[in-house]
Amino acid sequence: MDLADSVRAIRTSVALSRLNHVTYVRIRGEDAVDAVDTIFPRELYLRDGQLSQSVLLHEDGRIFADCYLGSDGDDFFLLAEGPDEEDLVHHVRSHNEALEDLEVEGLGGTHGIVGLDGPYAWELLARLVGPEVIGLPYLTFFHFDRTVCCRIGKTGDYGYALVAPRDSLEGLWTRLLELGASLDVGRADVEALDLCALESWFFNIRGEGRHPATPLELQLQWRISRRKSYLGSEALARRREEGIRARLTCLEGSGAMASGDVVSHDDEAVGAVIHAGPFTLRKGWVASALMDLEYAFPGIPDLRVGEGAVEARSVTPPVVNNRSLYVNPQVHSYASRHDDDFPPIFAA
Amino acid sequence: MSDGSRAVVVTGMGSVSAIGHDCDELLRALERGESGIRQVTRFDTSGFSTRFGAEARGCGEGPVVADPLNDMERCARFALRAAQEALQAAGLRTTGRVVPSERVAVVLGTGLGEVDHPIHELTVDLAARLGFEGPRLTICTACSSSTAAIGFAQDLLESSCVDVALAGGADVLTDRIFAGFDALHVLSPQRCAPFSTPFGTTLGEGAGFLVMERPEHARARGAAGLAVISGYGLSGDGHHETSPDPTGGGVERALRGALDDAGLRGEDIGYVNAHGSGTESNDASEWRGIQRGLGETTAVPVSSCKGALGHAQGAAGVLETIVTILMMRRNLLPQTLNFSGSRTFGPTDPVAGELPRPGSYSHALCLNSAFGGSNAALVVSRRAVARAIPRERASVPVVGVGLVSRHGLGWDAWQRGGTDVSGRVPTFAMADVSNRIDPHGLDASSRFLTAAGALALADAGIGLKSRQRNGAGLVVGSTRPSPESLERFGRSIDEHGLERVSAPAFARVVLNAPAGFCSKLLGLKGPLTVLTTGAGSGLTAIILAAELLSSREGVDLMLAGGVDELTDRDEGAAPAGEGAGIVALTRNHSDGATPPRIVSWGVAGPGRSASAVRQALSKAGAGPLPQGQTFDEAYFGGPGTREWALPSTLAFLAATAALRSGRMGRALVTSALGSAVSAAVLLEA
Amino acid sequence: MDPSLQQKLEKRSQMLDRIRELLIERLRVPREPDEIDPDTPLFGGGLALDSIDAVDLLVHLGADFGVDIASDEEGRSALRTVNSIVDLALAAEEADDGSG
Repeated sequence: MDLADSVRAIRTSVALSRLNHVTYVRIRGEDAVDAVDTIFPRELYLRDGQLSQSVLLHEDGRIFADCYLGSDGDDFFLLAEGPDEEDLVHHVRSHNEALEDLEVEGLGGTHGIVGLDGPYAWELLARLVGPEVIGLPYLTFFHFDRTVCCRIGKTGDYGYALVAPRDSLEGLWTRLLELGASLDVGRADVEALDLCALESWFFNIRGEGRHPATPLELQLQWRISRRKSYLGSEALARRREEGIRARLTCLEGSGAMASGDVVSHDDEAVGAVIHAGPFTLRKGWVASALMDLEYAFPGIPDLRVGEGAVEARSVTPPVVNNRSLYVNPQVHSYASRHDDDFPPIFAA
Repeated sequence: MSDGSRAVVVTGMGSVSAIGHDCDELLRALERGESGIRQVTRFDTSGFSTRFGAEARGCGEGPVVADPLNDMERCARFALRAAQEALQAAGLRTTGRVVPSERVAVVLGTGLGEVDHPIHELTVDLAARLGFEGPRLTICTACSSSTAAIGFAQDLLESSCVDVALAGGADVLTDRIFAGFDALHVLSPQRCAPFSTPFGTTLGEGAGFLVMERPEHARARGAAGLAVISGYGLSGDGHHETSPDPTGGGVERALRGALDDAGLRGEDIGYVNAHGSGTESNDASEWRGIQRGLGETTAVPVSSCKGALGHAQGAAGVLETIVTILMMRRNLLPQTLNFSGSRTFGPTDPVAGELPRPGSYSHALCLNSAFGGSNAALVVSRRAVARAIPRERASVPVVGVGLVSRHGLGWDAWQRGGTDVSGRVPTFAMADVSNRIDPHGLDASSRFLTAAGALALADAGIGLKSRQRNGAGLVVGSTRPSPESLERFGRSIDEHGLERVSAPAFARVVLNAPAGFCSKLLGLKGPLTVLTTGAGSGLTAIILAAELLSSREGVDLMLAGGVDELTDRDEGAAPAGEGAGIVALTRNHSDGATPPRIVSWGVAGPGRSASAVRQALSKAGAGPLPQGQTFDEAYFGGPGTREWALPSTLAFLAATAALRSGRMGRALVTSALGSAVSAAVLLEA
Repeated sequence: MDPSLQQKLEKRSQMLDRIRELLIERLRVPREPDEIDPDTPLFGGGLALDSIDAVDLLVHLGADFGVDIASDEEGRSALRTVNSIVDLALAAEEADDGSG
């Protein structure tokens, strides 16, 4: 399925993806809580069945992984993007060497993950597991069969990840395609998901995360606790004291923009693009750029990007009016969509 | 009972509702398909999103005065009227010549609570006016209050501490409650349409009572039984202060608890009277819970009375139970009014229609769910069901204690005491208790309760794993809503007016809000209830918790105790100061240690401590205890100028500590100060 | 930077501070002002306000900033991040100035 079709499926119906870029690691033992506490930047307030979204840091405050932490009975689990499984397991273990009763296990060998994203993703999932999913709150999960069903998603539309044993993955995929036929189910790869994430202003480790900026510049303070001590917190405290000099800002451009492109205003360099991509359901390009603080605001017209001096302006993200904001599973269905009078996903 | 059944008989009913000032009128209105929902007249609704409400009529309302105390008085009038009708129907003199007055309990459920007035006085005054001197319990779990009240009345009767129970509830529709529900966006723009469209509920009011007795007691005095209460179940959602658990898990647990209590299976249920408030979130999750509890493919008729009665809040449970009984006796299924087509998810058979439908059934379920997550379910039957296995009563181990008090965190801190004169709890960080509990958004009562609960669990060495949680519950004794939250609510009204009242503030001004937060934060999904008896509330809560534990298979851990929160105005009036005390009780304790155990308890009317003590001792086959082994509430605080929950809780904690230390082998905890109950609990090492 | 753009961005910066204050004082968001990044989502992740906070938010935006959200639909698209609230507040201020 080509990029445009994938994005269309994500934005208007539902798309399936193999989340091979997401790592699944379980943390067990009496010392599991302390181990997680050492490296996880947020308070461990999450209760059984809940997920907490954060970023794991290096000691210098740079981002190591984009992750969800789940509290599952006595265990915790991580669903992470960025490092591979071995590196992630090592990261947890090496910063907790003093802890005795700790087991950190990467489960990529035995488990795989299927993603469902789109305004009717809930409808497809309900066909698979029952109407319960309709009430499943964002950032919670539940078990069915041998699968963990998490409500997450970085596209701004309804999103779910099914963490299932490898031997059931093919069957699951086939079943979902069958059940989703009348929902015009599509397929999406990482490229489509990343584009949708950018439109919806979700941090992407393959995009913004490639830059050595810290959560402070990347507007990720909501994912960390200022009061807690954890791996990387000291570096952040120092950076706070020094003061940041740039901040992540959203740009819309009339033409192609690329990572590294200089952003100018009145012939003065005021920032640089970190990550960019083309809109597929409307004209133009969207980008995340690190702008000098003075210019790190939406509403600045007359920006020029890159060698080609592409016309751009800074805007208030997210730049997409996700259909999922309006779809109510109690009232709407894919079948009724033509009768439902939803606002446009993109302004004209 | 020889057949092992714990069923109790209903020998009389009384009601005041939007469709009748007694049960005859109620029945006629139901048979004619009338709705009591009209435009509200008692206060101005022009600033709200709807003008609809179900006001009770024909009760001599008098002029409209927007005054909380006036509201309480109106509530009392409804309650009295309904109670008198029920007693009349049961053939019981109100002066208690037929039944000794101290052998009659009054158990009243009400949501009325966003007033700073001792809520237990509503029940105390009612009992006094009726001439009854037995225990007076007030259950405050918002919309499931009177359902739970009926269940607890069943327990009181089964324990033989009373011979008759007058159980039910009362609530009034006020502009503040209307404003709060509107702020939560849960009011329907039209007459509410349970399981149909549009989404939303319609508020109502009223009162209802059942006269309940053990079958042999009713037989002995020649009273005819109208129906039987076979069992009840309770649960907590542990989800959110105003939204129900969307998976229906809470409703399922309460429902199953009721079936187990009654010794029945899902197939035995011929009709379900749902809470069916009509809101978007309730109806779908409730139906899901019914499916989970009775079977995915169940086509059992499920209807809601709220299209006729409105949502009578604390009185909803008893009124809907009365409707169920009236209709069951006439082989009719109550209809769901205002139904114009199903929602995506809803009962297969919602008994939609203007009139009741013919249908014969032997057992019905009555369900109610509440803000704060308390769910309650009753099994109502034509006749008593013989249980295969008689119920055993085991003693209940006390495995942990937690205390937050004027002296700091923990029982040790209390014992060390201090010369600090202030009755207030010193500032503490929740992180000192547990780094897994988010203190954000909690008022003082919620903080005290949650911290005390966490301390009790830690003391018991219990970490809660998800399997255990479904069987872990909470009973809290309190005497008023959090003053901090009441004040915030009041300020929001002053600043923005009733039309723009703060929804989060409204959610916190009920007596059961702190317990709701505590159960959510500690992951407790078993029975959840809040009661008040004024003084003795803490001890009474512990008794109820022990009763739930010792009588139900599905419950294996109960936290229970009392909470008091002071304002600057109260300080001198509360000898024990403010705080919360919680004990952890379990079903089984098999790791070799021998914790103190609750072996028996007694509950009697106010000023009848000797009777409560006698009950406790005789159930245990024990002789009297020396003075030094009796821990009385008065020693720990009181009497003050108002009644408090903490002193009786402290007495229990002290007794537990004494037994743990080996200073004595038995201890008696007593509460005798209150105007509502006297209570006694016997502990053994 | 040209003066008119400078002024516009100053205004925006001040409004951002006022909105942060609203979130902290009125909605009790447990954060310091400088911890609330401008593009922080309001619901879901981010500040994780819930549906009953949304009601309070609209009340205060209306009372203190003159923001009037006409419909539920408008609310959903307009209330997404802290910056989107700033946009609303600035627009309301401008409308006020225009009619004043």
